[in-house]
Amino acid sequence: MKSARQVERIVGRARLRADPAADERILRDAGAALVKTTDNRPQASRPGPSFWRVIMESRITRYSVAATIVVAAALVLTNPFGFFASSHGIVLGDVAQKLSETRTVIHKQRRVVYRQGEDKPFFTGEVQNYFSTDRGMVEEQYDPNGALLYRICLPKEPQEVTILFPKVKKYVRVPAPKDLYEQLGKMIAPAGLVNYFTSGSYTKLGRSQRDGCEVEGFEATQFDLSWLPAHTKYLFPIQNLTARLFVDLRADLPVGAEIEVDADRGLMTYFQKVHVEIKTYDYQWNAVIPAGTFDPNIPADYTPINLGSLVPEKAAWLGVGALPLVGFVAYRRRGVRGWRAVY
Amino acid sequence: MNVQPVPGAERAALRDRRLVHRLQHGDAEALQQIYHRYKEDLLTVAMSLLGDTQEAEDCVHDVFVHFAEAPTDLRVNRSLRGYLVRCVANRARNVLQRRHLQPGPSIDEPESLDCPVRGSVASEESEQIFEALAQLPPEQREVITLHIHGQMRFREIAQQLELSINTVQSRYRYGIERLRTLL
Repeated sequence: MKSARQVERIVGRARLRADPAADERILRDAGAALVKTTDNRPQASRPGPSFWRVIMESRITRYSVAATIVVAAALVLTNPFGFFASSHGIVLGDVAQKLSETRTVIHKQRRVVYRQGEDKPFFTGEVQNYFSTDRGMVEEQYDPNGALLYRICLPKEPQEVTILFPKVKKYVRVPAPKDLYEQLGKMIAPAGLVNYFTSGSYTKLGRSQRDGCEVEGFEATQFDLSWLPAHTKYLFPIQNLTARLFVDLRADLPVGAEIEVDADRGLMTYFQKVHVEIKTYDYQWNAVIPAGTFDPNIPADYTPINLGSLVPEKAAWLGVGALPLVGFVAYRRRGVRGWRAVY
Repeated sequence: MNVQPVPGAERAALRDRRLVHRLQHGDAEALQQIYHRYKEDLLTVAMSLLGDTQEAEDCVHDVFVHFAEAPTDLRVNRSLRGYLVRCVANRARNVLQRRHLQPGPSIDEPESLDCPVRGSVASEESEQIFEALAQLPPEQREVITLHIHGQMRFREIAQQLELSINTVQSRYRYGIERLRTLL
């Protein structure tokens, strides 16, 4: 009789080999299942250039990501719906209540970027923002002469980000990460990420006049930025971040916000020290937003572009305009894998 | 510079992780590579457990179709091979349970003798081994197959089958004893 060891060895020699017909059947059916699965998957997770990859493909979009880091902060801080719904019971309970009843807002923003130590900005952009909790968000950025530089459209459905560049009659359309809108929605909604931004201390700036209104100002300088991707310190090393918010005392609604960011030399700043100023103003709460505003409406003569070949370095700061979107994408995709992909 | 060689198992695990990553992005070629790399092991495990070539092929077929249907849900922590072996073992157990509940061939089942000889093939020695394994009680056969063909440790098998490690080891020991008389 064989020993147990010998039996184990003999049993281990047993093999069953698939014949080509079995191979074909299994691979055919499994392949079909894979194709079906891939086709049914949300567009953002399909193979092919992802939103993130497109973003990282060029200087303009990479600048956007840098700006995003400013912006992710800025977005929330200037978020017209969110700031005051604090669980910390910040001052204005009435404001929070009003914001929760608000479905739309239009406001403007001015974005200025300086090299530190210089008085003259090297980039200035005027931005028009439209938000609707039901329909999506749109951002348009104009040059100092009023010409439209780009238009970003993120409708609630379909979940695609479309960016139009009228001057060159080009466009980019990429699938949005499936939860992008939801996350933006959270920020637009009163609750949002407010808790995070109001978790630090703030100071009252007192009352003043702003755009013809009597306002109460608040300033915060300490923010928990630990949620930013670890590589942020190399990409866009934030040194200082100051945010101010101004609330109309009569209407109990925000009428303006200011963000100032100093950043050290980093990959995204082209190794320059920069100072970024973002100001939001001219709020129109519960404004009637014209039908079609949230539609991408790509003109027939526009063609898709490769961002990398299009935009000069300076214009990369156009990407600052994309902050609310790109920043949030960066925020959502801050996993190590995503950031490694940059390099 | 002193470069440490990557151990074979680690290299294989790395290679598998890459394949899974590609598969999760819909890469059909990765699916083919995974199949061709492990098909023989999986067919052997299935055959050892089920004792029927056609059912073994169907079992591996179903596992791969399911594998391709939900690649994004994959959580391959250790080895892809081990993961697939466990899938095959689970599927085979379900087949055996069905067989137990519904003994006898189904009406639709083709008469195998009338069909041309086709399907996966085993050597004469392998056939004898599979026949011997088929004579074991299913629980002993399962433990022996998972340990020898599936290369799973007793502890892993115990976790997989939700049994104590002592039970797994005793089943293995009794099974091997029985095989000593059969082989």
